[in-house]
Amino acid sequence: MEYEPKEQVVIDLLGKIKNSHGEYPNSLMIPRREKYLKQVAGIGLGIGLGAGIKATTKTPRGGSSILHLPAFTASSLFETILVIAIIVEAGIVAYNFRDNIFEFLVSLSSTPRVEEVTLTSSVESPQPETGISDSPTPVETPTASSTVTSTDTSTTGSSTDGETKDNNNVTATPDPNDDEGKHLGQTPKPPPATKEDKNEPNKKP
Amino acid sequence: MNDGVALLKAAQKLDEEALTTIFDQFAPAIYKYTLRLCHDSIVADNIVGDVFAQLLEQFAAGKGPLTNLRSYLYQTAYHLVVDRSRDNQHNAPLEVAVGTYEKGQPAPTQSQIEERVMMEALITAMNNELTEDQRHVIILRFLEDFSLKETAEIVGKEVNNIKVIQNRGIAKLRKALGMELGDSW
Repeated sequence: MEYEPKEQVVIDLLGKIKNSHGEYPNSLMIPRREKYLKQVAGIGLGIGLGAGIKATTKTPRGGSSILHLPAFTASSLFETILVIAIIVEAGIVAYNFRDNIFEFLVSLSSTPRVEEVTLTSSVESPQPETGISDSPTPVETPTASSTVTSTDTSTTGSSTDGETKDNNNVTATPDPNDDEGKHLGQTPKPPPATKEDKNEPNKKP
Repeated sequence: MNDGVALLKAAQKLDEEALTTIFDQFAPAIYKYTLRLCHDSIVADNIVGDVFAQLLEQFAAGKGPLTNLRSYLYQTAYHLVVDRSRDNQHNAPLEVAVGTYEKGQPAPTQSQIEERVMMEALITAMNNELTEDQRHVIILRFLEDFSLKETAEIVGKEVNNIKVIQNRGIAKLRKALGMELGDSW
């Protein structure tokens, strides 16, 4: 970059200022160098680096920085002791109340049972069950045919036993030809009339 | 160049000898640069300590500069100076950096006296006439011998912007010296 002659004189003057006084005085540089070497050694040891560097970075105005390595080490030591004490205490408490803790954990882990309910295809009647079937007639129809010659109810029952299981053994509707328990025709017949009765049929006592 | 790269790689591995060499090599220059910006030897010394402490912290965290260590150190120093200047508006004259004649030295010649007058006029102009950016760019470019690209990295601006700042700064200094020393200059 080229400059005008007068500007070049300014630049030459600036070059002379560059070589002028302003060196780092030994009274300042030697202590500063020693502190720096301590920090470098601290990096090698790996102890208190962060605290040391932060303390150095935040140098008080007009004063020198101080490494707070002992304070850092003591605080970390106390912190470690406190953490260990808390862990031990928690372990003792857990041991003393282990039964309660176990019950609590079991109560947490046990889930309530849910019964599955499947709806059938709504064949069932909503009415409550009664002991009477709605339509016993078809069930008893074959019975009627079978009991034409026999009035024995046991036969009827046996013949309809398989079919009337669901009807709770309901008795069949009486057959119109049945005697309805009157035992018709079973009444003993009176003895035949004698001749004396034939001769005096209109005889009044 | 290769020595610089090897030194940087060794420092990244936290090699104690390399870290010490870096301090010995760059601490005086960082001190001088910081002194030119803040004009206080104690503050400059503290900033040097902070710069190298941050460098160690970065290396310990696996970070830090990968290529240009010198530019990185100057950039860190500049940021620290800016942070401090926000808290403490302390503006001592730049004569501290130039120094004064001490007792026991031989009497200066006429040319030396003229040169010193011009230097003092230039320093006064730098303190009074230039903006902060212009003064910083002039220091980095002509007192610390950084390239335009390196200066742009340290300041955090584009190269073209640095060129503009630099030219305006030099023009202001030339004008100030002309007014100070007369039109014949």
